[in-house]
Amino acid sequence: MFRWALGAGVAGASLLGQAAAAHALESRSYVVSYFSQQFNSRDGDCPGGVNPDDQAGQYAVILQGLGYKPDEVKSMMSEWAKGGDGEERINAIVNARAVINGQNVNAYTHPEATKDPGLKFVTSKVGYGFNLDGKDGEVSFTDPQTGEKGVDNMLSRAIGCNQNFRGSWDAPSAYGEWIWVQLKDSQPAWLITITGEDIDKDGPVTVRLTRALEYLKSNLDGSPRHFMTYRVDPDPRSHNEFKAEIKDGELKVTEHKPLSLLWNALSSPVLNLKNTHLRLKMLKGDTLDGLVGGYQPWTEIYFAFSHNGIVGDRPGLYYAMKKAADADPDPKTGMNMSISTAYRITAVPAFVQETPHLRYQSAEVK
Amino acid sequence: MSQLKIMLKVGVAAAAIVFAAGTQAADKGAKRPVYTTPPGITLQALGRGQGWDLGKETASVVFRDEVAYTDARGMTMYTYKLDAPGKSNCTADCTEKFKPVAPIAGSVAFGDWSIITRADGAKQWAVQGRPLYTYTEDVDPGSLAGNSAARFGAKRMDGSGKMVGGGIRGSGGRAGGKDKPMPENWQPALMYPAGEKFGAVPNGVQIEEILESSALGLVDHRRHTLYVFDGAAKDEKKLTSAGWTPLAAPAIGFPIGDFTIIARDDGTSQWAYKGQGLYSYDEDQKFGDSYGVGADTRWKVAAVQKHFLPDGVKLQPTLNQGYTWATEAGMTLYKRDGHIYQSGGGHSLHRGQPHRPAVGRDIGTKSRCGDACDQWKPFLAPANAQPQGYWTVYTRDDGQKQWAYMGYALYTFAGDKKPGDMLGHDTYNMELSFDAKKIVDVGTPMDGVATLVWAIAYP
Repeated sequence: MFRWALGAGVAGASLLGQAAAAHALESRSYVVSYFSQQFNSRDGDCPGGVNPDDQAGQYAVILQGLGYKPDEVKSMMSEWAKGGDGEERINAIVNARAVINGQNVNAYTHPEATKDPGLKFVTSKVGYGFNLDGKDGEVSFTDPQTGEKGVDNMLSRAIGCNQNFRGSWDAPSAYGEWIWVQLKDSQPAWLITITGEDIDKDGPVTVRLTRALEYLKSNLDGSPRHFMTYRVDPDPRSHNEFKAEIKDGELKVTEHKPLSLLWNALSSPVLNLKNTHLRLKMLKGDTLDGLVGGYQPWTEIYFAFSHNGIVGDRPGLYYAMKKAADADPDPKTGMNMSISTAYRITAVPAFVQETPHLRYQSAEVK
Repeated sequence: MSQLKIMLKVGVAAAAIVFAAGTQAADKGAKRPVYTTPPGITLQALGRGQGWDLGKETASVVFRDEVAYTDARGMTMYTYKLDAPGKSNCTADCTEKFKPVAPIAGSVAFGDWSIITRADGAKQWAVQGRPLYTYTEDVDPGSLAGNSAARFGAKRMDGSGKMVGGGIRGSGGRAGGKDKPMPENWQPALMYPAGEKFGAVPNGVQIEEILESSALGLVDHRRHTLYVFDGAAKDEKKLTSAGWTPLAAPAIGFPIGDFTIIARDDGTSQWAYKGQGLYSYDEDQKFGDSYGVGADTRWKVAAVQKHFLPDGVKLQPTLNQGYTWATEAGMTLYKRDGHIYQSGGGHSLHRGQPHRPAVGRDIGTKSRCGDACDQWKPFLAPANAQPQGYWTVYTRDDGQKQWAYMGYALYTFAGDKKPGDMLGHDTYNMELSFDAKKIVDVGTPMDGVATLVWAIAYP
């Protein structure tokens, strides 16, 4: 039984051995410095090439499908490219292209009222992630880092043939890079705190994932600043604690409970994972680098995609994820509502205050 | 003020200036603030400040360039240049297009607000002596000179709860349309920008709308909020060492209107407003911050005017979201909003999701929360509640009245167990249709998948 000794003030990431009644425990805290879906794109893993992704190209195809003649499409896309009212007008036509009972409706709310473009799936057998179901099937991957077989990451298989999701461990996808730059400065940061008797040695630890009240603090060049102070948001919707094990400098959670972290409506309002798996290499300089994976409601992923043209054909992604979903069948329809996935996660050392106090006690406006 | 010697002193405030500590004649002696508007008169941001265009330009910020005095329905009010002070010259044919704004029963003149008698004996509101009218060409709150998103194709709810306009939303419908000119000799009755109606101010000092404090207040050259101290002078001197910076005045200067110069013990000079020294608070880092209010209850925003606040509502500080509206008991108030995708914004950050009154009106009291509705309790208003300032009153299906702020009906969340909890914040409900023949309607236009969100209601 340990006590979070951080409550009374600010605790150091690596400087404190936290005293408890029976055991001397130490805690190290980190702030997440990158988080996005992990892909392992390779030449030839999309038969016949990747899906068309250019937004203008997509729109041109859609407008043709709506019955506009080629010269009309050319004129409309020229108007779209100029931005302003013209762009808004074309966007409105494309957005409302779904038709139900003769009425034009929002295609992203009603993807079933649009045609499935049949996006290609990744055919590769090598991909990052975790074996979530203990099985090794036809659509499973082998993880290139761990060699683990039966890796479940159907999200990367479903969307990995779209140009902006093409990426690798060393070269993140364009979407991943773009969304992280957006997210890091517009959402409270996520925190990781590892607690154990001696974190430098192999042995059991506890890992706590929470959300801060502050956003990630960065250097002038945009890189994450080390050893900054963050306060833990008392909102219990972002409080998670897992038993874990450190072996050979790598932390792995040993209990695979659900994970819930309030996120950002730019990606998904909440990161919800079931059967959570986490592995983090503890690198020199007290940084962390690894993967977190599990089954995630695919509609929550679609939420972000539905708003953002850079992802490619949005209803197409809806159909792709719906087909690839591999967990949580709906009791009534049988449709799988969750999809296996893996996210790259890195973190830098930070100070964490567990129980923030309100600095401003009252407001009188009357 | 015993330790702060008044060096220069000027006369009383201009008639146009009212201060928060003043009283309102209508209250028959009760000590109440003087607000920016009387009962039945509301405030509306004009144009895109309504949030009608969900496009890129308004995704992250809704510009509140102009705020107009509006009638009980939220319709923009105008003044007529050919009117004489306290007398309307808009009669006969003129009133075909411009309707005099009649006071609601029981209205009483105060401050800038007076009630004039028209030639036909009817009563009419006037502000600073100028009679007020609405314009029949306007279609919904935020309209100006008949120009509205609704006119350009957007489907919007007007002030009486009727849907107007149609077709596609946003500026996309503008193609082929052209702004109507302002009718000759007419101008909108603007509450903000404040302009010169509050009199002269020292160089660098401005009057800005500080929503965080629900007031029109004074700001310094950085647009940082200015404060006055309402406690004992000895305490003021002591507290100035704790993050309070006096607003420096020239060593040789002259009083301006309500602004005087006081000599401080250290030999420096400080601007004062109505005899009270002006300070900025070091914790305020940008325009709109007013954290000094909560640092010590004796510090007040140097308010020129306060916006109306219903009984039973207060501003409450939070850990990272600034101030929220809360009940007198400290329970957080929430609004039901339409999700807006905002690259570069930040829903989880302070003021990350801008007010869009048009969206609030679209949703009205139909929160579409399904089984979770028993968790969200309407914040009810008295049966005789009147719209005033940014607060309006909706009638629920069961006939009960519900308070709304800037168009958004307000609620409390049953999951909040103690004052200050805001566990309902950022609760999203995505309405994705899995049925090729079922149309989902969340009551307001959506860019991506239709989504409604519960969010804290902030000023």
